[in-house]
Order: sequence, then structure tokens, then C-alpha cells
Amino acid sequence: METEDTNDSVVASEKRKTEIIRLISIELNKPVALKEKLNNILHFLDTIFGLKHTMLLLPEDEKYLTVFASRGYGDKGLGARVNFGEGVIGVVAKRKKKLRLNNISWQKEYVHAAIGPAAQAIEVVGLKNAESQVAIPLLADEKLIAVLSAESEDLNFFCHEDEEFLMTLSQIIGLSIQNTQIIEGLEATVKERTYHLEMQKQKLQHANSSKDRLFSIISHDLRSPVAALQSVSKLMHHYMNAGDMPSAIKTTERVAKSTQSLNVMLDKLLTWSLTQTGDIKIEKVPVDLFALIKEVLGVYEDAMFSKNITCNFEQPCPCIVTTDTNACFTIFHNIISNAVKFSYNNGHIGISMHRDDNYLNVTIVDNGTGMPEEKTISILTNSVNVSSKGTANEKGTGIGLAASLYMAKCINAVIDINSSPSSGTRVSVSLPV
Amino acid sequence: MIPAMQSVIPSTMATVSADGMPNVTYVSQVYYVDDSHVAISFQYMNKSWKNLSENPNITIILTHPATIKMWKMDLVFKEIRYDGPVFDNMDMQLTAIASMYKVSEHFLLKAILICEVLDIKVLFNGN
Repeated sequence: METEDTNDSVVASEKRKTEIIRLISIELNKPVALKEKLNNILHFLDTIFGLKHTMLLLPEDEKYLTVFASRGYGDKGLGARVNFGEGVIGVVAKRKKKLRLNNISWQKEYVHAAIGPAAQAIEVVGLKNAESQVAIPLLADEKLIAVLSAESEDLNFFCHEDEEFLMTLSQIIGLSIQNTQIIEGLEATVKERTYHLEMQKQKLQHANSSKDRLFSIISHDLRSPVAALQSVSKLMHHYMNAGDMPSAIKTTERVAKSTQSLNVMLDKLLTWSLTQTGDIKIEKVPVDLFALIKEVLGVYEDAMFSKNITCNFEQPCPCIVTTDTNACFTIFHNIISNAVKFSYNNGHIGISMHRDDNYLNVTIVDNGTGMPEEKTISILTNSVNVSSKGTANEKGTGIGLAASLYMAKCINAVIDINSSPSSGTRVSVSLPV
Repeated sequence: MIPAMQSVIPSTMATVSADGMPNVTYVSQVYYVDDSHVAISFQYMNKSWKNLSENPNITIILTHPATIKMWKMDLVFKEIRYDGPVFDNMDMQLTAIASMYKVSEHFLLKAILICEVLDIKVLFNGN
């Protein structure tokens, strides 16, 4: 690469350099992948500038560089690694300064002799018998973007001007690589954000359809107890006017029933809205689970009576756990309400408790309709919440078990369901003690 | 003559003690600093360094790697440097070569000697 010191050769050399800068600028502005751009640039350096062996390496984690584009090494080399601080390229990457070495084999001999026979040569990426090498760090804001390396088997192949020219090229290439990386990074960010927005959209759609369904069910279900209340209050008015006190007192029982079912409905609505907003506040206190389940069973006493369902529930172990009362109410309300709802007439519900060192396990077993495995899985994974009618045509909101699972998660409890259409359903709830 | 300063063939450096006893040694790098200065790598110099403290005059013979053209340079030692851009560059060259062996930490540039160039003569025109 040494030029004769004549005006003609200087002019020719400058023309070649200008041509390369022009071609490289055009190449870098093309809307093609970075790798293709860089391969084309290395091609120009070869055909116009006579650099037969060139490579571009990209750093990773400030530990090593990987060959990203290369020319003059055949198929070998791509993807090869160079550790920071090793060889010409590694030292350039580490110090972020350009380096030009000539007469490498002699210099190696000198160092080898100076270090002594213990010196062990390491494998260096590139030409095995390189005599000259220039390596340039491509920097942007002091950050290493890449290293450009050119090698030759000729002694003193690169002169000072070559090095300076490669420095100029490096700045253009470095900026382009950085821009491409920024754009690729932005594209990845946009993709990621779009994905998150899509997920949020799906969640909102799901929540919205749940809400619509819930309101239609609730408006339907609220209407009957409210209508009942209305007619009962008229009836009471009538009995009072007629002075029939025994009948008036009897109608108050129906008032109580209507208000109780209204209350259950409103409780469900409130719990559901809390699970949707994530505003549930967990307050852990000692809870007597036996008493709590007894209380829940009391709510369903009439329903069990009307279907002639028997229930077996004994207290075989200490059952005080430190947990949240409301969450437990929601969980057992829903499980027991389902057990009653899906039990046949003359059915049986068994509730048992077992305690070990870490958990209190409550198992609720019924011999009702049960459900197919797919439905159990969809309930446990909370993928769909579809309400099914009970054996006496009882309606549901479809949110009961979903709310229970959510509450269980809040108090670190685990709900497991085993069910089959032939044998009924077994639900076990494990609460940390 | 810059190619000759890139150590193809080790440069030969001569110094002389106060009582006139000469010492000749090889140096790994003679580095172009500017039109009137060069830097010499300081790695394995005992006698030369002792001589320079008594007598700052140096003679160096450079050989062009391709043409075997030879020059004789008369230098005068000006200062020893342990850092700076010239030191960094010479150190980087040595480190790069040494890092090709597994014992690079043992092969460090101790310092560089900045010398003023007094005279250059062609000894042999080469091929």
C-alpha cells in the first residue's frame, strides 16, 4: 500500500478514497439488513482499496467479540470469538484505540525470545501468517460499537495514511451500525409494547364481557327477590289492614328469605368487583374454620332441606388458622353453594378436615352431577367462567369459583378439584396454618 | 523511512559511558514522534540506561524491511516518559503481540525514551 511520492499517485489515491467513501455512504443508506451492508462495504474495501482480508466484529458484554461480517477468510471465521485483551483485535477492543502492526512474525519472535521458552502461543482469529494488521475501534459516544480489522501476509502492508483513511471510514460505519442497532432496538420495543397492549386489550375485553354477562344475570336474578319483596309487602299491608296478625308474621319469614338471597347476590357482586380492581385487602386474624363453615352451611340449610340433601361435618382436629375471614367466606360459600346446587335430590355432602404441620386441609365431597375433566381444567386455569344451571334449575353467575380461586391466591391457599360426571365432585382447600 | 521504524529488523542502539566504553543492544521499537523526535522502547536496558545517565548521545541503525536500505541516526536523549499518547501506542503494540502468548502480563513496556534527532545518514541504499 505504499504509494510513490508523486503527485499523480497521490491524486489517484485520493480519488480511490473519495470513491470508496461515496460508495460506502450509498451502501449505508440502503434500506437493507445490516449484515448485507457490511458485507458490501468489505467488498468495496477489497476491490477498490485492495484490502483482501477484512472483518467486522461486534462486542458482547465487554468480554468478547464475535465476527459479524468477514471477507477473504472463506466460510471460516464467521461467528468466531475473540476475547477482550487478546491479540490485536482484543487489545483494540479493550483499550478502544486504533492499532497498526507491521512485521508481526518478527515482533512475535522478539517477544517470544524475551518471555522465554515458557511462552505458549494462543489461537488468534484471522490469518495464520499475518504480517501486517490494522484494527480500528468503531466508537459512538465513547461506547465500542464494533472493531474493523484488516490483515495482510505482506510485511508493512499498511501505512500511516491507510490507517487514517480506515479511521475515517470507521466513523461512518460505526454511526451506521449504531443507528441500525437503535432502530432494531426500537422495533423490538414497539413489538413488545404492541404485544403488551394486545394482552391488555384481551384482558379488558374479557373483563368487559364478564361484566356484561354478570349484569344481565344479576339484573335477572335481582328482579325475582325484589318482585317477591314487593308482593310480600303488599300482602303484609293487606294482612295488617285485615287485622290478621298470624298471617302478617308468617309473611315476614318470606321477607327475610328474599332479603337473604338479595344479600348473597350483592356479596357476590361486591367480591367480583374487588377481584377485578385488585383492591382486596387481606387482614390475617385467627379464624375458627369449623365455626365459619358451620355458618356458611346455615345459609344453605333451606336449599339442602328442599332437595333432601344430607350433610356430614364433624370437627376432628383443631381448626384455628391465621387467615382472612372474608376470603374464607367467599371460598367456602362458593364451594358449598356449588355442592348444593349440583347435588341431586336425596344427595349427600361430606365435609372433612385434616391438619398437618403446615396446612389445614378441608375437603368437600358431593355425589352430584360432577363435571368433565376439560371443564375442571378450564375452571382451575380461570380460562372461561361459564355458569351452569343446577339440578333444580338454580341459576349461577359463573363468577363464584373464579372469585374463590382469586381469593385463595390472595391468602396463599390452594384449591384442587377432582370431578367426574359419574362420581360427583371433590374439592379440597389447603390453607396455610 | 517510517516503515523502517516499525521494527522489521531489530534496530541496533549504541551508547557510550562517561569513560568512553561503548555498549550495543537491540531495541524492539523505534517510534516516529514528529519530524525531529523519535521514541525508543525501554524494556531490557541496564548498561544503556547507565550510559545515558552519563552521556545522552545515542546512535541507532535502522534497516528497511523490504529494501534492506540502512540509515544511521544520531540522537540525543531528552526525557524518559512513563505515560502519554506515545507511550500508550507503543505499549499497545507490545501488549497486542504479547497477548498472543499466555503470559502477557510479564511483558510490559517500562518506559519510553524521547530523543531528538540530530542527524540521519544513509549507510546502504538497499535493493
